[in-house]
Amino acid sequence: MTDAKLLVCIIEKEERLEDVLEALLEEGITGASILDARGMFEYMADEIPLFAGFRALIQGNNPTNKIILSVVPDRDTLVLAMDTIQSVYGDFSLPNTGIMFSLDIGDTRGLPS
Amino acid sequence: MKLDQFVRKAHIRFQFDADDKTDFFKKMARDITTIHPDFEEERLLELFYLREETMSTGIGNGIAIPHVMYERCESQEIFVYRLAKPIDFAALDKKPVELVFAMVGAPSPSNIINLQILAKLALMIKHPEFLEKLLAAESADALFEALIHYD
Repeated sequence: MTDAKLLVCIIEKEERLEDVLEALLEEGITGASILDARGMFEYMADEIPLFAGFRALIQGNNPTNKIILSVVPDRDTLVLAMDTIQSVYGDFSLPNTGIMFSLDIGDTRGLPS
Repeated sequence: MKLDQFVRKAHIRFQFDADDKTDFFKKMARDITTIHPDFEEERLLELFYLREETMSTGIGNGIAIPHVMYERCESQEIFVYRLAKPIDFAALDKKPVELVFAMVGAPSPSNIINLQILAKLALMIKHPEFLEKLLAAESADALFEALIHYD
């Protein structure tokens, strides 16, 4: 077990991603992977014919989301990253914004020491 | 979620006559407004047509699940129509439809319950044995019993 944490941040307002990444970089958090994602309901409305009628009814109506995955070395860096994201992106408790959480990391390979 | 919260025996029609898809929706809207005199037949029909324009709700294997969110509806209700003869529904698998589950739901910001009911129905008819049982039911009572005991 390491002190490293995995930060998972799902951003529904895709247009804010650039600001978020710039802010993280400015704070020295330089490693992250960005994934394209779709919410469950968006996927169902777009891909499963029975649910097609719900496309227009989906709150927020974001076609895609972005997921930021970042392994940070310790809890202090994790808190810094989360605070930085929230200060730029806004309050995650509002509907249709996204979610952010962290996970403890077990064994690793390939992480910078 | 069990379907007995949403299906009533009085909402099941057996040997329902319809010449084609349009005729079915007209008769179905009339039937539902007979059960719910507070519903407007024309509005209901318009909503069902709008949904079909998006994509057919004939999901295959002889089943259709048309569904609408209707502002005058205060909960979720499923109306079941076992057709006297199969009709073309422009279904995904091109097969004619012989059993229709029509859902009228109360609009809500998340539509969670409406989505859950659709998911339940969709999962249900993916069980070949159960689908066979539904299609083989020889009365409204038998259809109702099969439906409410599905888990």
